[in-house]
Amino acid sequence: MNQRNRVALILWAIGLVTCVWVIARTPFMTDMSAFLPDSPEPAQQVLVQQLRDGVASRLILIGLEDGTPATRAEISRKLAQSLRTFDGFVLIENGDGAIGKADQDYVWRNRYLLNPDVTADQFSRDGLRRALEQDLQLLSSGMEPLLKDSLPHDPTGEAIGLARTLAGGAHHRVRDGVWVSADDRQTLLLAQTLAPGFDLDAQERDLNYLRQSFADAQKSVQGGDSVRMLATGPGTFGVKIRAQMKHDVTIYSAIASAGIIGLLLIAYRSFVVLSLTLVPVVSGALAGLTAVSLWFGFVHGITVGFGVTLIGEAVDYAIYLFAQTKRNGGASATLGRIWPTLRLGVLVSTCGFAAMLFSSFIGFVQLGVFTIVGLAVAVSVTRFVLPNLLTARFSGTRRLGFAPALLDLIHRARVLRIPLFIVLAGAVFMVGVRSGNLWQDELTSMSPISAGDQQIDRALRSATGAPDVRYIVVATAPDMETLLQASARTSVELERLISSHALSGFDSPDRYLPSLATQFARNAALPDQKTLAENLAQASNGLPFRPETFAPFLADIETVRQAAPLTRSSLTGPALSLKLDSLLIQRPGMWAAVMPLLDVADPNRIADILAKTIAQPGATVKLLDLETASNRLLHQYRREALLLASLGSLVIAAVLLVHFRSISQTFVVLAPLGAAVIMTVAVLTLNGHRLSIFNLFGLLLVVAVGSNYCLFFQRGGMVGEDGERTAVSLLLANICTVLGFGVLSLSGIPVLYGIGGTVAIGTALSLVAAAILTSDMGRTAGNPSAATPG
Amino acid sequence: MKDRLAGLVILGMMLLPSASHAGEPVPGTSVWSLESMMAGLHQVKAASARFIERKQMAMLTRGLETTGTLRYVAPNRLEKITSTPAPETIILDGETLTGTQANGDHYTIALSDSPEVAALVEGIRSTLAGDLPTLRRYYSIDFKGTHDDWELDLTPKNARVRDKVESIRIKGVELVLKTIDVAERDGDHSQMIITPDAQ
Repeated sequence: MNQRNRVALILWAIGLVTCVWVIARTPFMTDMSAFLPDSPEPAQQVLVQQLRDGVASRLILIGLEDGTPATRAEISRKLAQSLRTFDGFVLIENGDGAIGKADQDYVWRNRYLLNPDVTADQFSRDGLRRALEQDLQLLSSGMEPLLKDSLPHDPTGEAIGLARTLAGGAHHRVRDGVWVSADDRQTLLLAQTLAPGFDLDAQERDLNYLRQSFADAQKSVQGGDSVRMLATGPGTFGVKIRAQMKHDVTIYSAIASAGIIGLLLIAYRSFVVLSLTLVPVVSGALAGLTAVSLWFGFVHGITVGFGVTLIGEAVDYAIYLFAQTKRNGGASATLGRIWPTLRLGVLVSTCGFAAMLFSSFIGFVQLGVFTIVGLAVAVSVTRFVLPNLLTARFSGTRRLGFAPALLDLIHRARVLRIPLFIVLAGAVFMVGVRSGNLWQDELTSMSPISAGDQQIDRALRSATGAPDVRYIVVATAPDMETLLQASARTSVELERLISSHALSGFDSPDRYLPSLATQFARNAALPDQKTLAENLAQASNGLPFRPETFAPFLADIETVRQAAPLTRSSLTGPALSLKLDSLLIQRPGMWAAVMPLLDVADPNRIADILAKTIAQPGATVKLLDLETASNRLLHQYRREALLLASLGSLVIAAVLLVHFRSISQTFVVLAPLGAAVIMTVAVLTLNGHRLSIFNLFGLLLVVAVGSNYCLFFQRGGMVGEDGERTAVSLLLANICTVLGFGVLSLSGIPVLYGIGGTVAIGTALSLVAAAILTSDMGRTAGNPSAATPG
Repeated sequence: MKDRLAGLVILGMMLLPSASHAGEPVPGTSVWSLESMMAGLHQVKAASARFIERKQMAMLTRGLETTGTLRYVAPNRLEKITSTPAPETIILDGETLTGTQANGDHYTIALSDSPEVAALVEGIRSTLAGDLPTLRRYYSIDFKGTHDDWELDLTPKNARVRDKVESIRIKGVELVLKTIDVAERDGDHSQMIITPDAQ
């Protein structure tokens, strides 16, 4: 081992240790928001935030089934009690009415400011007379005790009216003191998590706590064993999907690994060589992670998952090296031959992946950094480290018996050119015909959530009165006051829409904290003590009320009149504070109000009415359709990815052009690649399927891996033992790729089968197309160096 | 808010209708006991009556009087239909109480919403249904008198109910309820006088 090689080995070892050291200190995140765009538009920021951590995304809907209603009620109470002690949940509702005194007091004390029905007329002589006459009627009715305690404070009945308003249209059926579904077969709970729905680690922890608490409650209640628990919600689905994904990836990558290891063992007949095959890719992955960690300060879980997939190409590097090394030939000699091709291959792949660096999605940028650094390190390790690790024991791999036949096949592959052109023309036609309808931009159709789970979610959502996950009304304004005024106007319109059955209820921040203008208006409606006392005296003339009865009413009104207006800090109770915080969003220079809706039946009508509503100057109000909006987001995401991929292709072409200084040689490399991509798209869309963003990712990988094949064919020299070995190494590399990714396509999860299927089909087609189109194109194109190996 | 409403509802339950029964004296009972009376009431399938209810309240200078009709259908339906001074309907059917007020307001209350409500409702309904175990679950019972002049004194066991209602005193003759007196903790008082319809 010469000095230079020793230096390379030492540098490599130091590098590995450093990488491991850095990675051990790296925070890994699973926050899906890294894959949402960092949009500068305020309205879109609100949308993204709602998608990420809106109230709806934090809810777990819980249904208890089977067993007797009494048993379920008991479990519901125990469960709620246990969940309320856990930090992960901010609010647990099961109908047991455990709302704190601070919250009740706020509503009771401020009833004249909070009730939208408060007008000056109510406190005039006539208004009070009407109220007192009705009070008297109610006192003589069965409802008398309902009023008796509060009547002296509240003869105009503000508190009762307010209670109805604050219920917001959610009607819960209660049995044995807890919520049950309309058909009495389910006992219901609603849990709001502290963590947003996308924080899957936290969601998983909360879910586990929920399951444990349920199991404990089951045990402590007689007959509890027969009760089943259903839990749904965005976070719950996220956790479920992740678990399914982990499961699939584990199973399928184990199968694929076994296949690849078996194949390589047959080819190499050496465990040492087999394990050395992994050295470049492992080194590359570690370096890639380190680079991402140093650049961003954290690594996203998805970067690791997809990144390792994307640099799977690095396994090929070792295969090219080993399979092309003759007995007693020495790895260095092989490297001397294949290095220029390998180097160009990495450069081409890097250009393809570099496009990701310009993405507005931080997740894409991380992937770009990871793959570029990973591939560069992997190819360097193949070039400078692997030969040194080999020298002592490795004298080349055996010559495979089928190699001559394979080479012969490649030489004769050109007869397939006409059929290939016909197939290609067909594919171009197919793709062309469908070009307007090629992409799938509906998030739901890509959702891995089963129809059964979605059905359960819908049923529980309507039973618990949890807000619609699809539609929300969003109002924005430059300041909180304007915003609260705008939401008050919107509330008026929504109330009307409830009467026309376009929805069944809604919530709005101005219910809990009216705008200052509204507060002033309501306050102005309250007469001074003297006037009120006179009005009251005249109004009760002839009625049997004792004169002193309403002293508390006079005092309460005066207190409200003198009090400072309500502000955010007036809400001291936890439940209403939390509610308000979830409805009011502050952004730099902007406030947004989120108004959740219940049972939206006629979204178009709501959107129309809101569009016509004259909002406050500076404020906007609109109905947001999260599904359409997120589809649009996905569309935008996919378009960006497509644009970046196209740019990457152009850069690849430019790099090849600069390298070869020949249009025809560039074409020789790109033609099979282009043909493979088009045919892959045609195959994927054969049954009317549309392409997802995952297919696009797969195509990116096809270009990265397939370009290496094309470069080897372009290099030519497909004769003699070197030619056989080149052919075998390409076949071996491709079989490994097809195995590894093909197995993934068996998964039911869109992202896995999308990428898996695309890469398996695409790389195989790249190899075949390269063999058919390039076998002697290189020579006919007049590249003299290509004809003679080395 | 919810607690407050629940509290109000509890009070509302007190004035729930009670029906009178025109029943036969229980044959073969020489000793008139709580058990034998309840067994007799248990046999009653339906009954209807007119009522006059008088309330005395501290906040009013004079008493209030309402009149209307009561209906009971075994095992668990009660109707109280007030005709004067203003029309009002309250129907208790199984676990659900529905009411329509004079001003047209409707309300529905599930009894199981609160154990306190259930206590007050069962005070009257389980008496009518002759369901002694249920009645005992919610009340301490003091029963005295003879079969043609008996008195059932109910004292709520639940402390929260007791805060509002001191006692419910039902008087009757044989299997017919004649008066229901409700004494509230704050001194207010109501009496319902029941006149059975001819059977």
